[in-house]
Amino acid sequence: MVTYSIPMIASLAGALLSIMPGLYFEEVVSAVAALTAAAGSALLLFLPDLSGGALYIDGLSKIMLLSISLVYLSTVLYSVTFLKYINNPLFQKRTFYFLLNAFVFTMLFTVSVANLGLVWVGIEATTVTSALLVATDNDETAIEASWRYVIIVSAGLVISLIATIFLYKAADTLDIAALLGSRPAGLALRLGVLLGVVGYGTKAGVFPMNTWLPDVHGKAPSPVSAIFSGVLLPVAMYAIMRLFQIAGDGGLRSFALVLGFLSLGTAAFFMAAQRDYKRLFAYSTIENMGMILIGISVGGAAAVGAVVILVAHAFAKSSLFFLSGNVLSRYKSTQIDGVQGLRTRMPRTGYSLFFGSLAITGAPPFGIFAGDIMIVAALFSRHQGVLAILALLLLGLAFVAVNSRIVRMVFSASDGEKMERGLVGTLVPLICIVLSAATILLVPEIGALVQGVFGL
Amino acid sequence: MTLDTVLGLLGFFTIVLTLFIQWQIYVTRVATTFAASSLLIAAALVYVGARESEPLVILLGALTGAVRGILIPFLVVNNLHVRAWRAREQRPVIKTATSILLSLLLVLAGYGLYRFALTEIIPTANGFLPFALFLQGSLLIVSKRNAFIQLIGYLVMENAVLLLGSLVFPGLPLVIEAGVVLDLLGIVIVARIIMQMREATVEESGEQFETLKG
Repeated sequence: MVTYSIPMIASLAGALLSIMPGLYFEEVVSAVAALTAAAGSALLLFLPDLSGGALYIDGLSKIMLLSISLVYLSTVLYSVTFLKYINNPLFQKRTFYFLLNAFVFTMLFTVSVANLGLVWVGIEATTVTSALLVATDNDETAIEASWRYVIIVSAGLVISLIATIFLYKAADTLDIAALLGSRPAGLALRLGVLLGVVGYGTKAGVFPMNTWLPDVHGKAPSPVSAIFSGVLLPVAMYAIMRLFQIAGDGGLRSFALVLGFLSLGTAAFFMAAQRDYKRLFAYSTIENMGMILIGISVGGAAAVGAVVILVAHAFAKSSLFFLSGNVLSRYKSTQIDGVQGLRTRMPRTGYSLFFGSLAITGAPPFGIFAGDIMIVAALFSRHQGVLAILALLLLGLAFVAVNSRIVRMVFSASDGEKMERGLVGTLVPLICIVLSAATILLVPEIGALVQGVFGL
Repeated sequence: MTLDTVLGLLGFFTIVLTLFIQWQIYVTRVATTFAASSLLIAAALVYVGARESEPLVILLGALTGAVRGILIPFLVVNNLHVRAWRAREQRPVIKTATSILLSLLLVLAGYGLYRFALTEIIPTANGFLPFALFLQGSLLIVSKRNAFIQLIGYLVMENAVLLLGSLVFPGLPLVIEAGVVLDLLGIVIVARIIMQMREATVEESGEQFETLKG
């Protein structure tokens, strides 16, 4: 049990120790905690699944733990070089690291616990620990974005709490292993899972309650946007996956499929009209969450594709937000038209941004490409050709919308002088992009880990 | 009194208090009314717990009264950095008269939702109450601009869930209930900090939020 708790223990210890005073102490402690969490999560891949106690760790949980821990590590390392660019921070550096570590702890807790009620508690706790991180910049719009996040997400999560109560009514237990063993049925279960998809979907950026997401991603400091987009939304998606696992079907698949397409569609059209690069990446997150929801709705190989997207997106999108932090720190603007000549002025950042945008829009050889192909192929194989073509069209629109803007930012002419960021600030995002590409090699392993979850 | 009678009375007074909140514009009155509504739910929980000899339900009632009835309203009212009469809704999204009408319609909608879709799984006479209350809370959030009143709207929604989880579907493990209460407290404390900054910096016009559009 203790071995399975290493990632949680490390992040919690990191949070508590970060408060202590000392020069660079909070940064060192957070880096050590993140490294320990990553090593502990990697170790779990070689251990058998765990159930029957307070924790429920299967293949899906292991993938989530590793994704969270690696993005945690990259966020801490990037933050070390980035926080100095925040002019008037809301709090001291050690408070930032305390909140960051506590936030990661709540996410690791959510994907490790064996009880759906505690999954809800964990997801709500992510709001408590992360709300102030959004307002770190301490200006009017950041504070407003933070407030919208708290009120919209909390209201959405009340719906998932009602869902949890319905599930309890249906099965008389909220223990995940017991729910999977008893396979409850009936109206209470159906209502529970449908409301659960809507409620957790609010946090996962699923249509229609995704309006908080572009505001928060657009206004939060880049490391916070990175960890939000990379792993917070997938943690909420994890809860939805558990609901699918418990419910089987019961009308859930069609409902979630519609929500998935609506998310994909609205994101693609908003991206086509976007002038702010951070909000552009935020809508790209909604697009990817839409594809993940479509994948788990279709099931089978498409569900594996959804998990592949989830992992590859975690690395690629966190990288893009780190890079957007580099750009913002130099150009002092989040407007796409305000950034020109990245290739000559910030070459490492510029090229990474170009490859990162290819990665998140599903270009080969990145992991999202594999995931998208698996989902579209599954739609074709189930004689849902119209939906497959619709998905391809919307993905195409998103691809053009993102890449045309990024190409303009990177390859446009500029006679300004060079102003590249330091080594760590450019190396961390680059490693994340490489990890996103490497995900494509791990598709069989990911499939093997989640085969029990999706009944392959 | 039977459980259904208790629920009936509780529901009647809770709905009346929530309707009263809808036409209030002063934050202190809204918070006080919310406190009264929470204490009512807490008292009902204690009564039911004592009647059924369930110490955990009595404990939950006490926790509800302390946190939702006293601590949270205190935190909200104590956070007002202007005089109480100045802390008010100045430009509601939906005008007060319309929101009262909508509020009444939502009570009916809650009843309709229950009658047509939920009687099978909630076979008690007053099973519609949590849903009517939930819709009232949602209306408060969307109809007002004042952050304090929006927060209370969220808390009304949470009270609806408490009603559903403890009185309509009793038996939810206490560890979950305690987790919910702790999270709720956390949200209120964080919201309090954000609201304090928001009230100090944000103008009512909203023109500075052009960058949050699109």
